[in-house]
Amino acid sequence: MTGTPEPPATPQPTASEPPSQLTSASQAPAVPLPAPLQPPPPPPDPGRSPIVLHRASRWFGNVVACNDVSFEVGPGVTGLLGPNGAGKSTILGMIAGLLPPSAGMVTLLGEPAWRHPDVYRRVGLVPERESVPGWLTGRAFVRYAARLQGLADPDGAATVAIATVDLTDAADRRTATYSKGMKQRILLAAALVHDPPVLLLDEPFNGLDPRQRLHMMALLRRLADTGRTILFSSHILEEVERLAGRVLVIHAGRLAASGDFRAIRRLMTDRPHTYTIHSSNDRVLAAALIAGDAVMGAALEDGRLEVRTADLTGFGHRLPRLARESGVSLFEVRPTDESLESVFAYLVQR
Amino acid sequence: MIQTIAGVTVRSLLARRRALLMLLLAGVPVLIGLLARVRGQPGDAVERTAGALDPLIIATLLPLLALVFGTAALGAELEDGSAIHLLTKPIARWRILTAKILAAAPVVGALAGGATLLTGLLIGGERGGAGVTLAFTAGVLVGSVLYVTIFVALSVLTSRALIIGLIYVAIWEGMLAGLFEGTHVLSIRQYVISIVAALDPTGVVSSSATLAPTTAVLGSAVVFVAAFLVGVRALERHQLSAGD
Repeated sequence: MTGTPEPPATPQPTASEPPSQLTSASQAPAVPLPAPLQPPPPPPDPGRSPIVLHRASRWFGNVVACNDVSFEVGPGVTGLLGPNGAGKSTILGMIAGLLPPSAGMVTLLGEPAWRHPDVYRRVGLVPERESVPGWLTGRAFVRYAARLQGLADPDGAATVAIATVDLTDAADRRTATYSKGMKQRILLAAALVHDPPVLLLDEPFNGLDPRQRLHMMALLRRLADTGRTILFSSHILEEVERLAGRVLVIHAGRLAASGDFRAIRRLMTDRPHTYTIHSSNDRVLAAALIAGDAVMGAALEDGRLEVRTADLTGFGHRLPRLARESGVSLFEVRPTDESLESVFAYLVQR
Repeated sequence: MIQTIAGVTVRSLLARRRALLMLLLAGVPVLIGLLARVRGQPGDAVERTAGALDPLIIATLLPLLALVFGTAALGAELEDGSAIHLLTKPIARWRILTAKILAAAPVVGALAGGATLLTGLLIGGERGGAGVTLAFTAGVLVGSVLYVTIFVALSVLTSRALIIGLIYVAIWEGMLAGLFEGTHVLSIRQYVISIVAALDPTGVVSSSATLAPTTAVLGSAVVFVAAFLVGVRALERHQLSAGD
């Protein structure tokens, strides 16, 4: 017994109707047309936003890590959200000038960062690997960054940056003795030492305990309040939700959605959910569910009942009531596929 | 700027166990010199000094030290990803390469040159070997800069710089370059020996020298500039691997 009707009319995808001015994904046609028929859209004015990707792609041999991605990032905190391996680091690497795009254009503060080291005067980067030379003290490491930036007063700048990340007490210890959270903060201090208007962070919350995470979030929010452009990557939905006003969802190298976080959150919550139910009488329960409007479909497979619903809250309320009315005992109700991966896959399909 | 980078690089080169191992390696020719002195072998002291310094230091210790420190100065950083701190700063790439060479060459020069001086003086110091020892020391200092520049550049070009460098030292410098007339002009070892021969007041080295002094100096300059430019170009195009 199967019944899988068409999905109901779904909300507007954010990619085509951005609530904020963040995205330019809609400007690029979904399927590139042959050049003679329609010239590609003109490249955006690089002076417009601090970070601009225009149809940027990057491949490594046969592997496409970033596929025709276009977006702009302006002041404030923007989250680059996607599962591991989605291409977030590749995108950040291209923005930071560590890698050239294989195709398309990436500009940072109006010029391609690739082979333009001068742009680093106005950019701070916190890399993912906490590769701090362990034999340096935290203060020496930040002072080194200040010297490499050519600052007039490296000691003073280092002291200010270390105070900003709240690491003054531990500044004169070797970084080999630091915890992961402290290493992240000393990296942030080194990235902030020249007071850059643009800050790029690759997975800044990885390995931090909850308290350190809150501290880091408060810090980034404070930095953004002074007009900085902050772009950070994360594979944790909640981190992005709590910190970023705007979000870019990356999946399998593509920009799956972009814009205001609330709209994307709604997309994620309102998508069809699949549940596996184990009960005393699956067939009776399936019939009752199909008769009502709580589910979009139900299937009996391998002795278990699988249902799909678009209305998560309604389903949660109605399932126990329906079971009681039908005289069926529920033994187990669990989401079949709630992984972030499936959430992203869903967003990409849309 | 260059001093800052070179200073931190020297500290990192000397801070590891590697530096201690290389110090022990540099001690081997000195030990051999000490043994030769204690046993007091017969023969011409000057000839024996030159005969010991050429294979022990010019052919072995100098390229090995330069290989280890040259690839560690920048290549190790590029490998483990910590070069990201250096590369995301507003610094022209030629300055970075200059700083790395300026850090590694003196370390190699001090170890290899010190070993040359001690070994030579131990074998023939007070019997007329001081002059040839000084000539060798000067040659070793020139060789340090050349080899270090080559290996720093190589470590930017490839992550297997240590292996490729070892093969180059053993096969090219060790064997092929000495076999044929034409290959002499492309050998650091021949440059160094020819420079030593030109500086040597006793003339015992001239038999091993295959190049005219001007050819050796010119060849050294060309190799240095070429290796430096190749290294800068490679560093400008170096792509740091992404995390995912």
